[in-house]
Amino acid sequence: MKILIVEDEIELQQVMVEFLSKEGYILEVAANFSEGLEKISLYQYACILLDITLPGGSGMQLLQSLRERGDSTPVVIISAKGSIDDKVEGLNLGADDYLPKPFHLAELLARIKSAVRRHHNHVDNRVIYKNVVMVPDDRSVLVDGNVLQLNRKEFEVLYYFIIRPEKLVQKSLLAESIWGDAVDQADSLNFIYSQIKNLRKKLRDYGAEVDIQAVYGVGYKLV
Amino acid sequence: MAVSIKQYTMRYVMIAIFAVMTVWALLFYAYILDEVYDNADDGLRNQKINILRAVYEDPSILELREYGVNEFRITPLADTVFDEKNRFSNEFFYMPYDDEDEPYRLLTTMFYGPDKNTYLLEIRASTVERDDLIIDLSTALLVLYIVMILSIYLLKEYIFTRALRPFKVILKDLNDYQVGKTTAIAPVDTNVLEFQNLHQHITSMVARNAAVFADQKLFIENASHELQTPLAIAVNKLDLILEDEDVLSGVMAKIADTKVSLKRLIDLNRSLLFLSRIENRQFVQNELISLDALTDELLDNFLDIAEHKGIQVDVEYSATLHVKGNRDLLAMALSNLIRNAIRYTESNGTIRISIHSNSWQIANSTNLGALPESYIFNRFYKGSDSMQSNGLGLSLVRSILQITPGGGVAYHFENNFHIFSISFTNS
Repeated sequence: MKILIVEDEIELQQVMVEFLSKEGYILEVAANFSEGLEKISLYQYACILLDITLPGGSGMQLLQSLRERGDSTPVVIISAKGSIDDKVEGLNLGADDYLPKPFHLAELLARIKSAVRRHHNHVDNRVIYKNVVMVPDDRSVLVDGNVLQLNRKEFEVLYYFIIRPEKLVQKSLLAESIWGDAVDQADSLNFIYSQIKNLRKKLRDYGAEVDIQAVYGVGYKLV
Repeated sequence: MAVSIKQYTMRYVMIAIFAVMTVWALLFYAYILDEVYDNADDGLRNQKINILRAVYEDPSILELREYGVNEFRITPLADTVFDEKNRFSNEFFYMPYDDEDEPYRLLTTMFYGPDKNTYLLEIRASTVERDDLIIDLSTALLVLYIVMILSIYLLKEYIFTRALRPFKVILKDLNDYQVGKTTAIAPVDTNVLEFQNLHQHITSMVARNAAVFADQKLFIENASHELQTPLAIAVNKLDLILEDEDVLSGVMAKIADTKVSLKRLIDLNRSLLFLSRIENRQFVQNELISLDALTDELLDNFLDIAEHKGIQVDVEYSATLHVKGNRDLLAMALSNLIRNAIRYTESNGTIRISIHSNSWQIANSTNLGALPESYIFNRFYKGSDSMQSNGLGLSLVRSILQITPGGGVAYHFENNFHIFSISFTNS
């Protein structure tokens, strides 16, 4: 899958490229408005990551011209502006998601995946790892074909794991992405631990072949 | 004391007209009196000629010693220096009709009779009573004054009400004016030059403000952008390191700790940005928000952590609370208060949220006693547990409630409960 990153901050661009290419994506970059405009007019992408403040123009204009041409490629706005007006304007112009900087790279990946998934709602969107199947569209989890009942938060936790099996999921990502600002840093270690413990128990009880392992001091990974 | 321009002008018009009329009345009185005497004197002179003629035709007239029907008397004079000059004077004579002394104009002169003797001739004519004249004149002038004031008042009411209409429109527009929201003042239909000027100046002021405001907003946002970008790069580079399987676990833990510190920096930056934007009133406050629903929505994130800490959360909905304001800001305010309550409640403690028709209250049990009410809302106030807090949470809450129409926040301590109440006067 090919992703276009329109971002003028070269270092940030490189970080995203490095991370997403490890996730199996093919990346193209544009560092300014005209480059971005050229690429979105010439090529098709699975997803476009769009910064708002660009040399030579605004990401909003790029989004507008894309949508005016009837192109419905999923667009995730990544902005440091953090302004609510920008979020509203971006979503009104047809952006699929809005991610304020700074963000967790794993969060970016999750947003890309769900934007792409929503875009292709007619294809098979199941996420499968070992004998666990997640169906994000109807928020269900199957273990060996049996429905595993998870509450919404547990589902979201599992989703962050299953989109990146065998890879580190930082506990701060889980705390910030799923519980927002509710969880204090000081509580998060304990809190996330107990949430993971419950989830592990449920997975085990249903005979899932997957397990969540602790990575000391940092987070967990699905194995 | 401030008075309206109508009263202000009226006061001066009344004083000015009164002064002008008083001076005018004195002059008019003098002029009228002068004219009356002049008239009487002419008559007396004429009568003198007639009498002198009559004396030469009929010397018996020289015998008229008393005023009678003739209104003159003749007195023979002896050993007097002859002086034929006419002397006029005002005298009082008894008038039977009025049964009192009445003013007369008196002409006194001398003449040689047909017998070559000197005679004194006095001719009188009843004349105007000065005090009556003064009273009449004053009454007339008073009536005129009242009529004038009354008509000026009515005229002024009409004219001012009409003329000030565009002014009132401008005032209303100014009252509704909000920096960052109002981009232009509605045109005013007037042909009064001053109001046209006023409107023109205000219009250009509004345009200037809008430009300054946009500049400032851009500046704050750019500053935030400039800060957030290096932070984002730092955080994401640490993410990349954490992805590396070869990194030793001790190093990974330290990197994760570094990220925690960076997260605090990011939050601080974001809070400061919000505070300055709130205080610059850069948020539109026109959404109708149900605080009941918002509370439920926020609690969804908080209940897990509360449960984890063994804190009981009770929500009491005694009325629905709809508030006009900014949804994101109010969510931030409520979530700051809920987070604080969870943070500072001991294990097995209780949090009570109660929603009333015009207030939202959160109470949490504590063993630590009351907080210093006077400065907990200050920026960078930190309680005993400063590690978790950037000291801006309550300050943000207060700023948010200050810009929410009719909003306010207060703290009090009761029965070992910290109680924060958000109130809305116009909900």
